[in-house]
Amino acid sequence: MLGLLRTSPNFDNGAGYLFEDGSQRSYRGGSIYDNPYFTVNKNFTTDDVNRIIGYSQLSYDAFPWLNFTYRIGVDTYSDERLFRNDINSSSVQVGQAINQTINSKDINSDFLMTIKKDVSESIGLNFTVGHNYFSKDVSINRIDGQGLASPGFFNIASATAVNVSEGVTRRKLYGVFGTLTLNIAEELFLNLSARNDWSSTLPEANNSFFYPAASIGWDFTNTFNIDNPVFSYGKLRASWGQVGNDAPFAVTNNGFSQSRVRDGWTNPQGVIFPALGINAFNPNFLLGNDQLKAETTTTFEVGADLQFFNGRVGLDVTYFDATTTDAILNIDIPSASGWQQRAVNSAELRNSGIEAALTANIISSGAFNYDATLNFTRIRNQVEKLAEGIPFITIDPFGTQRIAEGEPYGIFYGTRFLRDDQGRVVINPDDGIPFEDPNEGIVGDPNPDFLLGFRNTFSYKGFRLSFLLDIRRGGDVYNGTKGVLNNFGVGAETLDRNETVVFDGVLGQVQDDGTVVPTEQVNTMEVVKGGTDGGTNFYMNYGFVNLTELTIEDGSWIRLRDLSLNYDLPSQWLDSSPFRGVSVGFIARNLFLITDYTGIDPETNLTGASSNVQGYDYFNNPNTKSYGVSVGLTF
Amino acid sequence: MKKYLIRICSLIITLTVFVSACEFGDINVDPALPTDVSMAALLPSGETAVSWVVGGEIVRFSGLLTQQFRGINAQQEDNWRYLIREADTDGMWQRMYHNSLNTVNSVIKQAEAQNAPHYLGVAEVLMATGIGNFADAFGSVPYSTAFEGDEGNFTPNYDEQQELYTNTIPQLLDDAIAKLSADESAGGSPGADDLIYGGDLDLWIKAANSLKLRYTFQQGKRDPAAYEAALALLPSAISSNLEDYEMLFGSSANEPNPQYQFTQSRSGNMRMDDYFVNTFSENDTRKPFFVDGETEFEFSGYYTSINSPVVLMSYVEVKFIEAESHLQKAASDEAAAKAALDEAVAASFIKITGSPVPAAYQAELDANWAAASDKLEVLINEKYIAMYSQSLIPWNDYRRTGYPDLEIVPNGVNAFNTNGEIPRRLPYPQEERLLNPTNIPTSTPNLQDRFWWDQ
Repeated sequence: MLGLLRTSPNFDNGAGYLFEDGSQRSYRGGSIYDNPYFTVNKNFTTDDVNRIIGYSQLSYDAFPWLNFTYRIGVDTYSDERLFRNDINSSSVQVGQAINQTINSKDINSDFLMTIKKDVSESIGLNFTVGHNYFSKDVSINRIDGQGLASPGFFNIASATAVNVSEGVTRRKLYGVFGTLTLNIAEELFLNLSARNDWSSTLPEANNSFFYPAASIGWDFTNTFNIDNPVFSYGKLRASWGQVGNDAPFAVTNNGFSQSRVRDGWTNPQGVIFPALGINAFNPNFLLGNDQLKAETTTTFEVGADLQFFNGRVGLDVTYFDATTTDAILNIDIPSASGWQQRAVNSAELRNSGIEAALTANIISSGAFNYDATLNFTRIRNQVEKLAEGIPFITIDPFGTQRIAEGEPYGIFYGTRFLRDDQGRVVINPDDGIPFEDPNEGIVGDPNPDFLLGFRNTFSYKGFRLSFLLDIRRGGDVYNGTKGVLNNFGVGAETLDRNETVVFDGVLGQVQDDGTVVPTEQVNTMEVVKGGTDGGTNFYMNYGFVNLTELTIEDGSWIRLRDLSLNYDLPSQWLDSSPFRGVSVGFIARNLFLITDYTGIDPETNLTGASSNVQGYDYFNNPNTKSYGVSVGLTF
Repeated sequence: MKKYLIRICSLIITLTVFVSACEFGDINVDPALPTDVSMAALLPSGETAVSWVVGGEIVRFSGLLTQQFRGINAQQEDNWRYLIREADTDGMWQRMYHNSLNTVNSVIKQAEAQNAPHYLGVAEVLMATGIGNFADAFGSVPYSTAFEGDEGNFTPNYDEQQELYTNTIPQLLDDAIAKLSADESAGGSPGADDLIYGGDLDLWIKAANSLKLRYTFQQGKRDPAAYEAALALLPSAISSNLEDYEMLFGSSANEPNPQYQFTQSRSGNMRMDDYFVNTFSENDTRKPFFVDGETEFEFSGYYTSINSPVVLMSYVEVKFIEAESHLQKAASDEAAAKAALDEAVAASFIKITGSPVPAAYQAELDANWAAASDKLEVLINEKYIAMYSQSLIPWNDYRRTGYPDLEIVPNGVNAFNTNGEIPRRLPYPQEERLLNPTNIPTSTPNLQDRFWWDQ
């Protein structure tokens, strides 16, 4: 995407991606960004995963009321990844092949003793005590080969420089737990539980942690014998509970890592030891913390489950408030301390919100059915506290997203205009362009106001049509793509570059020491925005990616997440076939997107959907629009 | 039945007791990260990393600010026109303090514990190299309480530039010389693991003396007595090109020189600046070793080949220091200055081209010298070419002397460089403002703020 969007307008990537001598034809002369055609045709990445999941269980009823169960489960996979950059690719000119093998094995075993007894006619009791053992073993073997013998020949043995690395992640956890459930006359449901875990990832002195929970549910329609066609069912519930969490692998002690000497401009290349005839190590970037303890999340939740019109309309509402204390995060420490990061019980994070689901069977007339579901989610999160001495924690690799005390999680932090105490932009009296604030600050919040999912399902005889409208309101997105393209002068916003503008704000005055002091004088200087009269170019003035403030946009959207059409073959057609049911279907995803966001898609995220980072768009690919057909067979 | 029940219950109890007393051993130790590594495995990493920062980012900043390089894309374009944000120095700060000097400091700690004065001396010279370069780029920088993260100090103090110059660096180098001169080093001595001098302690002593010379001489703008002091240090400094304090990189894909790798990975971010290209005399045979055609990098150039050296301190620099010291000392000696200048230029031609100075070039230099009203300008103009890609010496010289007479790059006014002139310093990195706010000397980046030796 970088190579495509950054190509200058007078260069045609499609006119060939290779010169006759085999070198790459791209607008940067074969450096930094590949011609997209080169990427597609010459650089291959393959990923082959084999996974087996299984469990076996022994269950023994000693008495009708007493059961012993032992269950052991295994989840194991191997993942073979091959990364290849052909000779003359921009990032590794000499060509590169990387073979990576990941072997992972999870074992989970539970031993449970369950007592199930009706204490009296109206009180049912269920009591479980158990033991849990969990173990995770991941080994990662990687061979990096650089310098290929000939184009397209990716055998690792052809590489002139080969480096091998071996990595491990492992974790063992033992737990004992007990749960007591009481069912009083099918009206009142009470649950008490407690668990203690011992984890290998915590320092020995702190490796045991205990967490209790309690919940209560009340079916009041049963209590008050409400049996009414309009209001048919109602249950209220409340719960309080804690969950303990251990640390990531190997963050409690110090080590040395094999040395890779390079900088941000040359990554991934540089001196990768063993090199120069010798092997070498340096202290690992992460400083161990032997004082770490488990983090705890305490959740309070109340909710109601209500049904109307004999269950045709249902409403499920939940309010929750969860606070995580002693959250374990890798925080940055000043490099001058010698190390770069340290895992610390560093934050108190609070998440509260409302989740509601409204389901309705709107039309039910014989063969035709129309069901609709509305899901509403509104979450507010807040960083309540950071550990002493920690001003903020950076959570993205570029330093633009942070968690800071008293702010929502993951606020955008970056460069911005200089403003006076009334919030007016301060203008440079020399060129009529706004000053940049020499100190960066908070410029956006990626957390949405609310999310709404609206699913509609129509069925008629064997046909079923379903689609999901997905709505997000609010939530800022960092559009780094726009910043760079505007700097290059190819962003649509820069079309006004020849126009004369007066930037709103007040004039600033440069002091002898170089600092800028705002004045009360309102700016009236007319300047050409793109500097085409010889003045300063507004779009280039703030550097390559532009001010972060200018690249933050609202990421609200309405999108058609999916649309599917299924048809179940009438069963009488199948009488003579071996199948009990056959369905054929068509599914399409991401058919349309309505948004004011000017980038490619406000949902993309540079570091992937599962990371802490959200709303970071820097030459990302859009969500794919996909179409598929499905056939379902039941025997 | 009851028997089973008792057995199973006792099993649970046993398991519970078992896990309560459980010790996990070294499960949580990453086998890819050894906890104990010898000095011989740390030293090559420290040497390579210090050389990478000095020969990579420091050379680039100095070259961009003194118009040896021109940034034509991305942040290099911003830096060239004096837009240097605090985030732009985060990377080099991390690589100097974490990758380079913390490794060097690990060698120092082990050498002290294992009674290995020879390793200690080498590591102290490397430490002085890193801290010296950073003091010239940033001013006051952390040193005396740096590298104490493992003792719980996450907010290192800043050592004043003046203190670094007048006490810390000279003492560190004197100590290094004493340790390198020790007859025995019970804990071991560097050998093949020393990628710079191959374990030659006499050359390390010369490197230490040469750095003392540089950091004494560098105080001349502030204190003219420094020139006499520098001349007194000359006899023990590096005395030929063959003794240069430099790191040679290798020819394999995984052992490249940092400038070579930058031209490979980021070609199109920089080219040679017109000012630098035009400053060469037509008789200068060094030019094709630096410049390809009009303004391109010479990809197989002296400093930009895969196995090129990164020069940390050279004989050529020593000779230029000698020449300028004679010129600038209280009783200026122009003849001695010119003699040392000729030796410096001769050594530069030999180093770069392998051949002596062309007669025409020497004649031109002699004529320029004779005609010049300010001999210093002739001297620095020569040094500007000879010191190309040798750390940040050209930028130091510009800040000390105002030469070469560079034209200010247009559109150099920005929030951090409000008068638009050539920056006098680099901004402290953002991570220091945010993570070490009580110690950072200034949280308002101002590239025109002159530090101690620049006043």
